[in-house]
Amino acid sequence: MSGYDDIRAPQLELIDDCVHCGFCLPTCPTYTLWGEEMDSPRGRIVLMKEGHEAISPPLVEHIDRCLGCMACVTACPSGVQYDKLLEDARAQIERNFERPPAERAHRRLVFELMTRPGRLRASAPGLAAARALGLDRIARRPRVRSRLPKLATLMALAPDTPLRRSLERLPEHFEARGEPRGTVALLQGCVQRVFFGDVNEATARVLAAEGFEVHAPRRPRCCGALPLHAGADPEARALAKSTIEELEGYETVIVNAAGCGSAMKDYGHVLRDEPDWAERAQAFSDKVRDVTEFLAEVEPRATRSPVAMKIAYHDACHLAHAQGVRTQPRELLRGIPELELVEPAEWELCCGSAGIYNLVKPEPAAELGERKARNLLDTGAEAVAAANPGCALQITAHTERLGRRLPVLHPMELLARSIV
Amino acid sequence: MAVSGAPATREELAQALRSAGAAGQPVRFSGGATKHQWGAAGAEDALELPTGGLDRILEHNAGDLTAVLEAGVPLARAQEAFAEEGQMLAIDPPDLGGATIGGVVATADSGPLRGRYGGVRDLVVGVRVALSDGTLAKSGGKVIKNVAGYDLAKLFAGSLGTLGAIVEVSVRLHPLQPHSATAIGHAGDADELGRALISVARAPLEHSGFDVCWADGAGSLLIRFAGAAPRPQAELAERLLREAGLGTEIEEDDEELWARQRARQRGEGSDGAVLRVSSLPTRLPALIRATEDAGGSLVGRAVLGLSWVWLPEPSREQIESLRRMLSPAPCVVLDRPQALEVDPWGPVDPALLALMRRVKEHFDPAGVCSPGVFAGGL
Amino acid sequence: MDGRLNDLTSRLAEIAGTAHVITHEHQLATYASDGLLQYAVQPGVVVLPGSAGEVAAAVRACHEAELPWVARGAGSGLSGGATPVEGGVLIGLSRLRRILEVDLDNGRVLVEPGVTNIAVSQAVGPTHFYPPDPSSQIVCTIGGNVAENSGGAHCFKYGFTTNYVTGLDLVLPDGSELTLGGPEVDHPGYDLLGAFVGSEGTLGVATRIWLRVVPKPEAVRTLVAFFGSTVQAGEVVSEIVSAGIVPGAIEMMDNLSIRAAEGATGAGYPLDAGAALVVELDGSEAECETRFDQVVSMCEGAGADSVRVARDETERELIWRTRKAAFAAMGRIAPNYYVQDSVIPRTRLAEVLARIDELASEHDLRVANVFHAGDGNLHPLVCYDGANPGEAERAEELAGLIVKTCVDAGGSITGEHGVGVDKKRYMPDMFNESDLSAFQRLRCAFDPEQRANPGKVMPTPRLCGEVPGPYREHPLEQAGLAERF
Repeated sequence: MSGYDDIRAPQLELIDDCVHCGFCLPTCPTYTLWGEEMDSPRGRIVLMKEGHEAISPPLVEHIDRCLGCMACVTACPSGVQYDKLLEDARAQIERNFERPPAERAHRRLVFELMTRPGRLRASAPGLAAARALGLDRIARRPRVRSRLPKLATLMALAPDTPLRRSLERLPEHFEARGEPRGTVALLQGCVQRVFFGDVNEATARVLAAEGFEVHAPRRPRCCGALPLHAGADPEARALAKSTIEELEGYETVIVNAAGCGSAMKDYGHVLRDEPDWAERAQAFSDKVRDVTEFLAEVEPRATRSPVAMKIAYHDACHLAHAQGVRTQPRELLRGIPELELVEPAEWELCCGSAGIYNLVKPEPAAELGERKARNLLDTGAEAVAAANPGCALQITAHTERLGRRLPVLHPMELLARSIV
Repeated sequence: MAVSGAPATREELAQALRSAGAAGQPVRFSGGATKHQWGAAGAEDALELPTGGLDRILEHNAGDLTAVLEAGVPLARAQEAFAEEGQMLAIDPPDLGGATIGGVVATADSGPLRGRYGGVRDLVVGVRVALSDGTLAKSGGKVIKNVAGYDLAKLFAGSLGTLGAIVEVSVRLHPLQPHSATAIGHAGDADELGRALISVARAPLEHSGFDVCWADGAGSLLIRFAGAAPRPQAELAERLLREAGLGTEIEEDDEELWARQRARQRGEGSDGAVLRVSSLPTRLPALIRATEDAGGSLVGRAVLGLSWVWLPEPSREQIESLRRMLSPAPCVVLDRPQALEVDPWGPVDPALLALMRRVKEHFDPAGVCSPGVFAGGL
Repeated sequence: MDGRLNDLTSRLAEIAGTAHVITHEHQLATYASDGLLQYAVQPGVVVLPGSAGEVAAAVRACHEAELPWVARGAGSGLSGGATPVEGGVLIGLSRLRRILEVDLDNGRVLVEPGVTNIAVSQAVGPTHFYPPDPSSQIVCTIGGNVAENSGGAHCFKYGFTTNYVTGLDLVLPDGSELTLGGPEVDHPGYDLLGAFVGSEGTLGVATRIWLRVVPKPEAVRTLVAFFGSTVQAGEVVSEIVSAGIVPGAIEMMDNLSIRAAEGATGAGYPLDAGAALVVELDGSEAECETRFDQVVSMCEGAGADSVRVARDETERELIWRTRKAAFAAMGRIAPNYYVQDSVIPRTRLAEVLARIDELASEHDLRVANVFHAGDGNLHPLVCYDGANPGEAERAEELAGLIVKTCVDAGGSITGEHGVGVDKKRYMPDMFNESDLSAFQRLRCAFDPEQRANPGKVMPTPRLCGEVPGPYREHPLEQAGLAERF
């Protein structure tokens, strides 16, 4: 059993920032589930330190169980950079720890599929057929869930985007309405563009209505968030570079998926040890804005019409914790007349989607998904506003499982409805 | 009972205790001798060790709201001294004359202020004790906030002198309040009284006393407020009582009222018995009914569920029957006629008794400190 | 030793399930310390029971195996009270986290020991609350609060844990179970409940606890005032207390801790302020208003640079979050620090603070101060950089001198964190041999074999039944399980 290699091992200075106060424990989803120190941020930091000597199977298991939700970063009074430590630790594990073959194959399949819109589109007819045959309902049965958790989860989460919609492509250019205020690029994303094309369209139309010219180039195909957050370092770097190349020409890069925004703002750190890329990546990161962040910074121009709905706001972890964006989306939604915004209990607790987490760790993901679903349903809202496709899939699946399926809309979809 | 020469210092008292311990001579510590009849009958040949000679107020730190007293200081004298600085020790038990701070702590006696300020266990911040092997030991200190070491003050509070002698006590003080007003609610129905009690107990009021009294088919809740301007709070309480269906009034000249509450904790004659019941506010109506059935009356800290039941014609059967009816609330018999043969303490869980016995054996290895007086025959 | 531990480990797996018995060295490392990282000891095995019965069985198994054990709540303590015994058993109570009963009519809550402090207040809100509120209340557990007799910012007015526990179910070190007290106050017998609260896990472990909760005050008003120095702020504190005002809380922070806390919460505190004073009054609306205006005048009269009054619950919550983040945020301004917990009589505050400043300069180190000004409980934080040679030793020496200064001023070595491992060495400054022997008697009555959290509180380990005299090595020391100070 070996320890870390020399390529970006979790830094001891960052590890030593942790004073062991434990303030992160109550906010950590896995500590909330299991009450064990090894599955808390504080405990994982200790394990990361141990990894310098040896990367043991328990170490890997506990790091794998981390959702990467960053609630601990929000909670930590000492400013421990757990996000950076986790990124480095995961990459080290991928390079230096031999996973069992089945597990390796499963992870490979997920990455090959998720980061490629073309392949996702290709899978769409298959998914539609499976749904038509009722296979998704079969997948939800308790016996199937317990025997084949990963497959059942995959089926349960599969979005029911109408086939036609998932085969459509977004226009690459949107004219500004009225006096143009600037030009922005919009990241189309991978999962987002295929299964949530409506969100991209709504985003572009809102930006245009607010006076911005929008460019939504087909490339880059993926910003690399999923591989980055899972420790697949080579893919993450390659996708970061291609994204930078395609979009750095723009003044502002807008993103409407929390995970993607968080990853792109991290590029400077991801490429910090490549002299040709470090500065360029950081300059790029500085241009990235979540769409709600961006709109909250400018004077609203388009008139808002009423949208009389009771909406529960769901804080996506990579927007709220990783990027610290909580008030802006709420401000934008409150600006819509007759929209009633309610807050679920335990906002800081991850829904369990967490990138590919619900695909590789279905049991805890399901517990957390159910908990989030109940908290959202308890608000009495008729729909949920969530700014991340993974969250949307998870919340939909779990409210459905409780028998009271809640529609999930992106804040931009609501704003688009309001702006004629 | 023989009386030894009164020790004048804690070393002398410790020495006297040590000698008694070495000789296997049972002793009984004596302050104001106002509560000697509490507990079970002790050894007939017990030697009385008076604490009256330890009567100095060693420190009164007004700025810090603390004081250090020798055990033999009469509580009344201490209160006078504190009052000179506008302060008080928030313990107001009935005082038949000469009750000492040591005795009050050893019996964990209390009065109406208990509802707001806690009992001796909550007001004593340090204690010095003498043990039967001659050890003089202290715990705590003289600052209000202190978790260093073990809290022997709590252990000795209410131990009736069976673990050793308390020779010195450090206490926390509170500011004396200039004015008071009491809201009173009358009822002839125990359930109605009980409902009113809960309604006021759940309200955000800062009362300095919240008592009940009941006799001859009727009773009252008394809620005292003290401060610069207590009247508005008293009026709030009165309104709640009225809304609960009670007949109400406010009394601003309320010293008499509360003196009566205190006095009745010691009963109303030498033929009867006082039973102290530790229950809960919601069970007050049931307690009142049981008391009425036994032909008795009661006073108590309604908000704490702590009551003193007076039985004018007590018998062992009556007391055992009450105990059964009120179970699991503990009932301890305090003042009673000597002739009445009853276990004042009630049953003690065997596992708890075993632990208590070990504590007793460690602190009083000679077994001479009021043997047989305490719960479980300790 | 190893054989016994292996057998015990199997037994523990039978009791709690294999999934809840931890043996891998990496996993054990995560339990090696509580909130004090400088005391890290690898346990031999960690067991996480799921019920009171499993706790009792685990303790009994340790008793039969003649091996020591340490109970742990959330491991947020600041005295090393949950530091494991090397190669011994750690019993974690984190899975016993149910609130069993809430009875607002009688003002009682029944909880398992793993319930967090804040969860109790949340369970009885919004009409009631649980007053003892340590700064770590979002993570610390009631079981831990009971062990340490925890206080918090509001304890000057409201009291400590021991004033709010009316009963508990207890597992004695031999594994037997009994109940002390109950929901009612004043159970007859020795106040073993009062002796147990604050006994730092050395007398047994509680598995269910009855707590008293009280109605929330009608009104609460909070302000934070900034002064040029702690002396100035201290004067205001004296004025407040002399006027017979009993605030819900009075807290003070000095410049260093203001900067750390500001880094954590971004509340907008002036980074050049010499001292921040948080005063909170609660009670009836009328009393509160009058008293509050008085306090604001006192602050202004004493030359406050600015006074900020919280206008709503959000602002109030930010003031408290900033104050409560101060310790944990020290990581921002110093690589290492010793956190202390000394108490002094409030009237000696100015003098002791000045002395601490003096000592700090003499040792060429910085000391941040956060404290409960109302009850004289200081938390000096001695900052140092362990990477600089000799600095850690100097810091430890300075910490010791600060403690002695406080004891000499008539105070205590610990106001709320407990003695644990960290302050054992100072016990003889406060207690002589007779005092310590009296403590030992209590400990022996509960734990004749000295298995529960050995090596904590008492400066030297002692046998039960031992006559005080010249020091002799204790079997626990021989086994390398306890150390001498």
